[in-house]
Amino acid sequence: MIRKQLPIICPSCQGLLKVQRLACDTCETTVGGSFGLPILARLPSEDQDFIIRLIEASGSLKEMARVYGLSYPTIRNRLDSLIDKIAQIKKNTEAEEDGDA
Amino acid sequence: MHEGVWEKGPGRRMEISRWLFNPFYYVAGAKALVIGLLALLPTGILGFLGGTRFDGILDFHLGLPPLSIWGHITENLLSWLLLGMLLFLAGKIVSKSRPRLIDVFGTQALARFPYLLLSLVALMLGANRFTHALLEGHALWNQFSADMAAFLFMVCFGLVMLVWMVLLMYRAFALSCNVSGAVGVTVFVVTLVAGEIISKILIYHLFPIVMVA
Repeated sequence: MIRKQLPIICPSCQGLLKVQRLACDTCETTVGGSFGLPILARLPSEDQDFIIRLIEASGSLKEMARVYGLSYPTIRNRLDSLIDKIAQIKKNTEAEEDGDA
Repeated sequence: MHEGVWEKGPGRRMEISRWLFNPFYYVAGAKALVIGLLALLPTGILGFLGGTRFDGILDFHLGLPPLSIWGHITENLLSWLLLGMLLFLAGKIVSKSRPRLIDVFGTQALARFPYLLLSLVALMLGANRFTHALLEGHALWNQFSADMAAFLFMVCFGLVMLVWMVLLMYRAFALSCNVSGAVGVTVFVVTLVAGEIISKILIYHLFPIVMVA
């Protein structure tokens, strides 16, 4: 089965996409507007996967290292780079919001 | 290893290359420390048996004055401890992450593995005989001999092991302290050179009693 991924980058200009329409599958109601994507949704799918697995491991990097068969610093460095990415996304979001205001 | 965490499973060649040049991707901390120490001790013992001195963080020499077995082991341990301590301090200063002592010392111990292979090869008697002949000034360069071949092989093999060890030391530092790029390389090189100088001073001036056979 194909795992569909949420597109977050515009294929035309590489800008960040926004949500304009949300639909209810049950009653077919649709809601329109312009909604920014939450931080987690802006991360690549492998990063989202990493976060989910970290939560499943109760936040234990040692457990993550054991599960993946990698060393503790390898996992910790991965987390560090994820923290940097999130900080960058927050910074970009703040800049966008300041630009919109 | 689970796939899909942040890379599609590495190919077999990539995995072998990682084990050779960056084993710390898979092994660090206490496990690396135990394996590293299990390699460091025989390096000293084989050095004693083969007359090879590792009298500095990077040095290996044939034909130097012999030491007691403890002298050989101490030289190896001292080099590892000193570089580990210096790199840990450097990592604390430059890294945005929080390096763990056990990771730095563990990976640095494991990084000295190539010198175990070197101490094994140095058991070749021919290389030792030729070195002594060189030092005493009666080595025959114009007459090819098995001893000369052993000596030349030893020199080439030693250089390969030295390069491999330095590469491993850098990778160990980069991973355990999460530093990379120009800053990582510069800090590593400066620390390594400083460590080499300090190790020479320690081995030849501060611990002469331990070192004398």
